[in-house]
Amino acid sequence: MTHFNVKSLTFYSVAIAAVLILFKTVTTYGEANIKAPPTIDGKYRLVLSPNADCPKPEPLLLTIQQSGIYVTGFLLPLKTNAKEVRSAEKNPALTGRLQNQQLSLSGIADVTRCNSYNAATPSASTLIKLSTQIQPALQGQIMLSNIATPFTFTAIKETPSPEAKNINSH
Amino acid sequence: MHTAVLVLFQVLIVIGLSRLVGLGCRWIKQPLVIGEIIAGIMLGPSLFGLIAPATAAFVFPSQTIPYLEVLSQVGLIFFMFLIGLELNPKYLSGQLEVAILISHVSILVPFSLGTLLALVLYPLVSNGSVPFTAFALFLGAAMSITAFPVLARIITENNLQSTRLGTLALTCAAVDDVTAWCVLALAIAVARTNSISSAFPTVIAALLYIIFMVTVGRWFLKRLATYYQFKQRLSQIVLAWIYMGVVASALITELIGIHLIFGAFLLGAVMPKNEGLVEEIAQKTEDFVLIFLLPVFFAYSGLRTQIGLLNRPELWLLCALVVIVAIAGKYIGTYVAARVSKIEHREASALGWLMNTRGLTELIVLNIGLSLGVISPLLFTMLVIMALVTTFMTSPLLEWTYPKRLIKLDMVDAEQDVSDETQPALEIPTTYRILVPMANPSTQKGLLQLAVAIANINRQNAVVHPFSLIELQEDYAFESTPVAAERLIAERRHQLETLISSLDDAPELRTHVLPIVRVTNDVARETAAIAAIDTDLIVVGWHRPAFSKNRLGGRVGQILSVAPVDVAVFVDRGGDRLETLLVPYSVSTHDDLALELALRLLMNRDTCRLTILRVVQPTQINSDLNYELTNLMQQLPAHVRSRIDVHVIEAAEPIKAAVEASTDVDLMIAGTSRAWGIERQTLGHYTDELAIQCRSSLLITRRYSKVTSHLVSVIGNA
Repeated sequence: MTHFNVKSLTFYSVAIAAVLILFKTVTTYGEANIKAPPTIDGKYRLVLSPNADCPKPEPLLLTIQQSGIYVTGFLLPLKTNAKEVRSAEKNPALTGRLQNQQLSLSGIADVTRCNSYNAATPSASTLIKLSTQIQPALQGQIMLSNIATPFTFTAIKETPSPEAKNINSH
Repeated sequence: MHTAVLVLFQVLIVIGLSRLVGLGCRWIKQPLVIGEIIAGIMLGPSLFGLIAPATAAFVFPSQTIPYLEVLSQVGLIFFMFLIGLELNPKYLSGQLEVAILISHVSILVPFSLGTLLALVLYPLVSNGSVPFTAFALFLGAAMSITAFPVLARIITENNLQSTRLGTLALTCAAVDDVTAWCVLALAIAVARTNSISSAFPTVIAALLYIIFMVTVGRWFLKRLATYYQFKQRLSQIVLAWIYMGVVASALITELIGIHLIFGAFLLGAVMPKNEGLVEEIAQKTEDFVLIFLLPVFFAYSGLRTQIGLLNRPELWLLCALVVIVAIAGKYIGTYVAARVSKIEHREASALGWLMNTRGLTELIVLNIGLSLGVISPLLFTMLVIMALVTTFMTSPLLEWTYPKRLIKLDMVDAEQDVSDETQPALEIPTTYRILVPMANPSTQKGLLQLAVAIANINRQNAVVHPFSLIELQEDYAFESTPVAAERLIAERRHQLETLISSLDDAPELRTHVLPIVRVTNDVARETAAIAAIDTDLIVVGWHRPAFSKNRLGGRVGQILSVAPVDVAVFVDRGGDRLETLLVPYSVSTHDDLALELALRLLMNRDTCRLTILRVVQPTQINSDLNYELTNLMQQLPAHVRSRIDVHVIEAAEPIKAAVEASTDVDLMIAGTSRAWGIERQTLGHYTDELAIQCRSSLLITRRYSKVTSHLVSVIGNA
């Protein structure tokens, strides 16, 4: 066939080879030198250590949705029912970044309850500032706007429970 | 609420909103599919979830998402099957060498740029669970996609499918599409097995399957085609087998390790492209898939698109970078390759913009990537924005580089191959051009005969264009693909040719009567656009309008309102003689036009006689013809003037007088002036009293341009 003369065949093979070589080079370089931020996606149970302003802070649930170094998430009391969790998923109220192994998130959340206080304390949205290290585990500080002293916390990653998995897999 | 009920409710909203937004997009001359994509995004967290999060969570709770996913996968499978069906090797026939070069370059360049872009994006928007190789491969594939279905429709709508640009674009896009799917298959295999080497078994298996389908599968399907030829219709049992085949093929490719869609696409692609068979399968499948299932896919995709994630300026900059790299890769690659193949700048540029269309094929690719976890939600959103932007810009940019006005009237000769729209429209210098819109060629012989008579071919270089517009009803259906559209055009052209050859003096007319057949979705606009190029007169037949009895309403009314040329509407009462003419004359420009056309007819035939009827009110003073016209008539040769009679009668009701006079003439030519009860009302409608009462055939004339003279050119040659 006249289409496949030597000149065009050489051109195509050279071009394709060039692109393949480029690809190989880039990927080798990339695999070796470029590291993506570690995966911190998921649900975490935050255990806050008590402090002067709030001796018995209740445990919280932190959900993180990660896209590289840009992170969003939301914070709820651990006892929140599944429906509210799903509702919060739609509009994560916390945003932040991952930088140098440090995660910082800020936004609003519904977590003012502090067990030592009057049970009639209404829960209002509070501003949250969270900064943690991510290796080896998530631990750091969380600041709530209505409580003067920041809390330190450790986070335990939650693996999704088998029942929850079954609901989704139907 | 029970989940199934909720899902159906969601589907209702999805379809309704898709059609609505799609309509809006049609209005701004964008493809329907953009509207559907936007509708899907609107229903997700980007708009609906933002302004009414509680309602959004109620209407689209996350437990229904898997159901939407199932529906959208089914829709995708059958949609890809339809795409495969549309891929006709006929597209590859022309300009193969150039097409191969351009399509190769238009993949290699964006792919390389995508790989380089991966270096920038990986540390920012990807997380550690995705290996760099898979990420780079995927991004490269996403950058090299060209949306073949959307492109095919844009080309058909712009009537480019028989031009060199159109066929080249289609061929390149087809080759591009297939290559990109292969790269995507590789990317999926690598993503699932996490390295290129372990993807080898998958790749080998895929290749084996492709070979199997192309050989054994095709052989089997060929027997199906023969069966169809014999039976001439597609029974349900056969269609059931075909559908089962689609699903089975999809399952096989999924098991192999590449995605469901490839199997479906492959089956469509190897289906023998017997026209009738493919068309029937497409017709039976497409409505439900395109109306019901595909919008669900867009909604499902839209629910995962979170524009709210781009909440920092640096992220928008990153998005802009992605868009720029995507556009640059495709446009520059295509443009350079086209120029190297000696294609001129304008066409190469248009080709570049066409190949830049990414549309819904890109969305399919991105959703697969997101499901596999290769791209993160943020990057997914950015790429969706990129797909929308690139598809959105195609139509306007195409119009800008390759404006419709450059697409001059085609010189259509059945034997001649018209491939270059930039060829000058006619080789003979034309002094007078008539456009004759014909909706129903077989019944409009009288109309064409009249137009030819007015054209006066023996005295001047006049041209008559019987003009047929094929209106595409459905936006996205099989009939709007280039192959199907071409078939319709050929049919219509054949009808026109038959009509032309049945005229008197047919052989001499051949070079002066040139049919034009075009595809459009707005008849009045297209007619006006073509008329604006150098047309002197439109002669249109009377249509019985659908909703009113007014003879000047409906389609004719639209042409009257929109066309920037003089128009004559022919109400044919059957007789095919044009021997005796009557022009009722009152002082108005429209009647002047009527008189001019009558004089043209008079000069065409030596046996013609013309009566000019002046109906004067009893109190009227001046009963002379317009000065210019009198002058012109003095210039007529004596043998023409001798056949004109001027009757002046006094009557209180001009219309009645005219109607009476019409009883013994063959044709009455009247202008749209108040005197004859045919005038333009405030809303643009015309009254049509004379038309209703007239006894003979009637030609209603409406002057648009005060400058055009219909007589000068013919008198000069008398």
